[in-house]
Amino acid sequence: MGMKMRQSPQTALVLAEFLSDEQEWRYGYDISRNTGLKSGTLYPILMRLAEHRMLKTNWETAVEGRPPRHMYKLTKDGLRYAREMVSESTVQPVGKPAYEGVGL
Amino acid sequence: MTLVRIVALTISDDVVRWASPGCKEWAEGLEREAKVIESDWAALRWALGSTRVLLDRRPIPLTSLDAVPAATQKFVESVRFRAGFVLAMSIMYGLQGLLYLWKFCKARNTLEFAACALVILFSIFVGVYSLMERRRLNVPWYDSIYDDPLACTHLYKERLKRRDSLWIYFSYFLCWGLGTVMFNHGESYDSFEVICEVIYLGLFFLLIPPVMYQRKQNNLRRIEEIDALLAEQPSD
Repeated sequence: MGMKMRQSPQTALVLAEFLSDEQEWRYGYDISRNTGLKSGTLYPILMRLAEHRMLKTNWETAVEGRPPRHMYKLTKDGLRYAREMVSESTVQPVGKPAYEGVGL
Repeated sequence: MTLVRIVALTISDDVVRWASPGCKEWAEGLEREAKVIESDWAALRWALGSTRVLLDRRPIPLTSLDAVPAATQKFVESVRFRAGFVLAMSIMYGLQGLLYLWKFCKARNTLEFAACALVILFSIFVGVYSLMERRRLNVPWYDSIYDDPLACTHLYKERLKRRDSLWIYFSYFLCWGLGTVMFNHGESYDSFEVICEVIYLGLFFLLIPPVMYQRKQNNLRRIEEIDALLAEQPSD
């Protein structure tokens, strides 16, 4: 009676984005820009991945003058799943970024 | 700070405030991102998108067996409350049935008879069902179980697996609503008024499937968390 991981094209996009640099922690906004997914679409996908223990989350170390950001990285299971799923689907990155401009 | 930016940050703050306990961390993550987006309009679009998190109502995930007793206790309290509520409902169904029995005796046309019969039959069914449900819910719980996280976990899982009977009560309210509409319009039938009332009823009942779906998803999620925790336990 397990909950299934939904295999949507958007999920494939997000997984492909994580695979572009497997070892790096990613920010939600950067993923959104690179995939063209809006926050309302992206975060449910991230939450679902975390729920299936495919994604780990972390808060970055506080930098002066800027609150710490939430970061994401695929787990080993997540990487395995991502490779399988991305190889099965034809992932085409969305050309236009969802949001422009980020201040760091 | 521009007005658009203020609105974006206010929305993000409110999303954090109103997010369910299980989504709080995600809402905070979204809020932090909104703060680093340079474009005001992009920040506003981001903040508006983040409101979707509010639709996801989930409890704090169970990350260790030690957290299970507290979650079980909370669950048990809600079951006990529900048992009391169900008893109150069964009394209400009985009274409602009697009221419509009286109306049935005074009915003047087929529509009124049908309306009363609908409510009476469903009142009897749900009243009896409620009494049975109350017996089922009132399984004795002993407080010492909270001292044993493992036993608590198994008990919690067993309770979560039980089917949800909420749809029976919603069905009753639907029948009662339809019966009332039919009875009120039995004599002076005004199709416009009837359509309006049926639309109001329909809108109300549109809320039910998402609520039930969310409950089911939360239970499934909990069971999966429990299974994962139990799998981590060393076997004897």
